[in-house]
Amino acid sequence: MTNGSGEIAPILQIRDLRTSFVTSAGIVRAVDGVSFDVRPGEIFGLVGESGCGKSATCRSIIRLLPSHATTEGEVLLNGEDLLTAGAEAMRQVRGGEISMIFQDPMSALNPVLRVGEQVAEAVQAHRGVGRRAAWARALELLRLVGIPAPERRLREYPYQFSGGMRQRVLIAIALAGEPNVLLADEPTTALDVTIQDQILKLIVRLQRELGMSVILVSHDLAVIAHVCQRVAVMYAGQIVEQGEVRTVLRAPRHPYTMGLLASLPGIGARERYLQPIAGAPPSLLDPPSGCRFHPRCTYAVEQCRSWTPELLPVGPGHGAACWRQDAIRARVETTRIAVRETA
Amino acid sequence: MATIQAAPAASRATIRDASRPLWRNPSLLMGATLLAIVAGLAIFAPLLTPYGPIDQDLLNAHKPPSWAHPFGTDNFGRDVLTRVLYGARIDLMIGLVPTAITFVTGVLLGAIAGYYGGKIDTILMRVVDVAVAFPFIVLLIAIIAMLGPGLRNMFIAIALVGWISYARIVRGEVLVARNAEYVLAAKTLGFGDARIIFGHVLPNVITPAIVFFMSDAVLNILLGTALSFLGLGPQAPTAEWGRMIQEGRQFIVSGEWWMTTIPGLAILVVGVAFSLIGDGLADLLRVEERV
Repeated sequence: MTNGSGEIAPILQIRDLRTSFVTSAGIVRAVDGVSFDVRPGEIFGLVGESGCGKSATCRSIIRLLPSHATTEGEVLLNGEDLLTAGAEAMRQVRGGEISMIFQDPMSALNPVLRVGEQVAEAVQAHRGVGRRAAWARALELLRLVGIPAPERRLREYPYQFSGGMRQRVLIAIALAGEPNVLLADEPTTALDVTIQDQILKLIVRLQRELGMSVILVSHDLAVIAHVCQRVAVMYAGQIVEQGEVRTVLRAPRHPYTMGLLASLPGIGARERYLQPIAGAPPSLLDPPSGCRFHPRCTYAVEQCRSWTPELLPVGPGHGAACWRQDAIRARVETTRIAVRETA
Repeated sequence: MATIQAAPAASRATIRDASRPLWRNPSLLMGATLLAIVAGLAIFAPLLTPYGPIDQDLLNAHKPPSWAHPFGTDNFGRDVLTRVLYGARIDLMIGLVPTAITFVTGVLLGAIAGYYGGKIDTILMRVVDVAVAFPFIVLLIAIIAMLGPGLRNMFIAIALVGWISYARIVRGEVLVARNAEYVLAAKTLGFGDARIIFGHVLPNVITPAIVFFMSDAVLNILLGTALSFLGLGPQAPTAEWGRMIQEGRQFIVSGEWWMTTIPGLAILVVGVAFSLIGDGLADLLRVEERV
């Protein structure tokens, strides 16, 4: 699949997505003008602090938001807008084209149904097969996601599974309809570090074997760096920086991304103090004027208060929503020189 | 069994997951046995007694318990034991039929109201409020007065009023369960509403309604016997416990206790049986911890 310019056509295009919740306190703009593309067969990362709109973005894509939410913009799946699709078409998309896995594998499985029933039900819902065939497929799926002794495990209940195993079951359920896109909403957050690594490796392996695209939501830059090809950094409901993972994490061009990286402990950086980003994320009920990061930004100038920057190209396939690029480059250059001199 | 016992306690047991052997649940065992005995006596009544439930023998009327009539005879010389056995058929039906109808309709309506919320919920719950505002028995008597007395109309009256408790119980539970992550997960798989309500939500919330079913069966038997005591249930000469008590009432003063005491005890036994089952089920299906 190519478009005119020879690039691979994206499987999923998010265009100016705006999701807001009407609450008693006012309108919360959880997602405010988010645009990104997901290409076939890539793992796209969505990173940001809690409450920055990552999950709301995911749920807007498959339209599973509470009734007090409104969504505008476009979500194009192979060119067709999901936000205007009918209820029945949307049901076909969910689980069949786009599947989702959740943060908390403890509560996303139905406690009173056997694991096998839950997997088989998902198989039956999307592939018109009989019960026997669905159970056979469920067995294959459990095997695919690396659950030992799947014959026995199929007949067990969720409480008999550990957290990591439950997440594998959820992944198996998500794969039952052979989706082209997998939304993974913080899939490793509730798990132990060692299990996190296993689940990430599993997602990467399945993504390669099945050739699907994955949107991986995380607040953990290390996770994103580990598995994603491209990443979008979200802040207060907007994307502030987007590009190849390597470029974004090695040479960030937005003060927020820089701040995030500076607040992370890194290997071989034992001498360095961790630098937290001053202040707290803004309330989405009443976001700051202009650039939403300006109250916490060390590069902020008067202009940042009144004007909202667009996502500007700062390199090949790399965009940052900050016009203080000269200052950022200069600062990066001086620190590099300083580091060289001290060495 | 021992290994299953060791399974983590932090789970919701279900009927299918009931790992405890039945003998560890004496309430359920006793209640079920008692009910089975009563049901057996009712079914095999024709084989157990030489008399018919409406066979009159005026020469032997008002006879106290004897070998020929272990529970005596009533004012028409009908064998009280025989009438109690045949009466069990009607009274078990009163316990089960209207209760089953109200269970199904109440659970359905409660689940729909709780799951969809909004207008459907508001309308249904206002109906419930209105119905609850009337004293239960007065409402029943009013409905039967309109329909006319008889077993069928009594069932209809109970069915019209009794679903309310189930609807309230289930609605409350569904309100909580519909926001559970597993429901969202089912939605992300593109499952339809019916599949989510019946396949995913109801199995998680049905337990309290099942337990209530057992107490409700007792209440309905008491209600049924009370209504037929008032003459609103099955008409004479049908053998029914409430009716038998009412008919024997006038002979208590002359010391003919058996006409009222025996059917009264029968009601007690069935009531205890259902209560024990309810108790045992509550124990069996106990929610250890919400996952």
